Amino acid sequence: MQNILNKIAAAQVIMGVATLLAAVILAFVVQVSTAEAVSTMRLPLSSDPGINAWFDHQAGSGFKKYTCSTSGSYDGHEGTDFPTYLGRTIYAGANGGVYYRYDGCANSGSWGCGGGFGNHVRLEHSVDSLVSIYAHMKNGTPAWYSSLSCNLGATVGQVASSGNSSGNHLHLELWSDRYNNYEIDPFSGSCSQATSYWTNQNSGSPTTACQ
Amino acid sequence: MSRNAHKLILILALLFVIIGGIWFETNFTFNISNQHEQNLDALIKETIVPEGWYRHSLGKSTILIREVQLPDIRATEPYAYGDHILISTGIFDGTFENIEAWNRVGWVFEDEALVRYWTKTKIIEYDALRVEHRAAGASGEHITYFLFSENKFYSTSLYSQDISLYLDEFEKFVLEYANSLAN
Repeated sequence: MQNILNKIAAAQVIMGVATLLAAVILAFVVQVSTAEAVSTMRLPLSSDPGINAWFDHQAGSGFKKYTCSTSGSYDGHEGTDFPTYLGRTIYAGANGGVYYRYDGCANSGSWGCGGGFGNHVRLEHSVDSLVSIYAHMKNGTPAWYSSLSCNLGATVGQVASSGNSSGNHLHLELWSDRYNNYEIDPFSGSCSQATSYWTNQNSGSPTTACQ
Repeated sequence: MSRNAHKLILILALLFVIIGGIWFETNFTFNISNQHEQNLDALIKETIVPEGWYRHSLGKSTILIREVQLPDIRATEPYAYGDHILISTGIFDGTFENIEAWNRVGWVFEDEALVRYWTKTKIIEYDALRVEHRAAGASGEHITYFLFSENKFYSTSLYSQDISLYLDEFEKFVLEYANSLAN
């Protein structure tokens, strides 16, 4: 009788340990799958031309970069500006589909056109609801594809200075979703979120690696 | 007259025709182009610039900012100037009755993410569109008026982090601007 009781107790202990292990494994799997369900971006140009204006993290007036530096952009900037030459190819930052496009603005001096973004493309990414916007494009170049593959080098348009823009550059902006509930700085850092939205942030000079 | 002399005369005549053609083409096109650009300048009279604002030229457009000197912002967005009023103009090749179909303001009617509110209105004798919208690329807000006059449109847009600070003087400015266009 005592043997049977001992065996039942041992079985209970084993089952308890097994359940605990299963719970730990499940939690790990959920965490991993959640971590994977975030889009990360490639540099949308063939090489980094440098960044003219960074995303502003300062609430209220003033500017704060993702590194907490107080120089490098203007108050309220919600994107990342890459100054470069007219007509330079812009690549899709990650897989996804274009759900909104505006075209027909002059390449410069077309203030207010396209709501200020000028000729632009809004790309919704397949992995999550993240939206990337490529603004101030050259007239006639914004893409209109329902499916774009980063690894195949999909292009979304060309650089210009259309809309509210003071010179040729790519304004890259990330939205949490199509409704622009909040804007996201792709760079992670002490004054930004902990996880980078670049596939390889590379100390502030992102690479062209796709997710 | 020798054969060579004939050839020389022929070459000279040909050169004369080519140079004359280039001269005519250059001057004629230049005049047309100048006239075209002048018609599309967003001219703002100094007298209608509100107190505390300073007028600057941005190509064929005008910007009013809170600073005497226009800062060099390099290639970015004009939000870098801070609070501002941007005035521009262009060709209007649509109709006000069917304004939703005119591409230049198409975003007003389709961009739910940026546009908060729009309404058709009248400013003095001008058909107008008043649009409240979020800034594209910055955290501030815009109020934009489009005034339509035959084949032209005039756009005046206030940008600020706190639009309520300047709303009254901006709307007064739009009225004075419309008056100056009408006169």
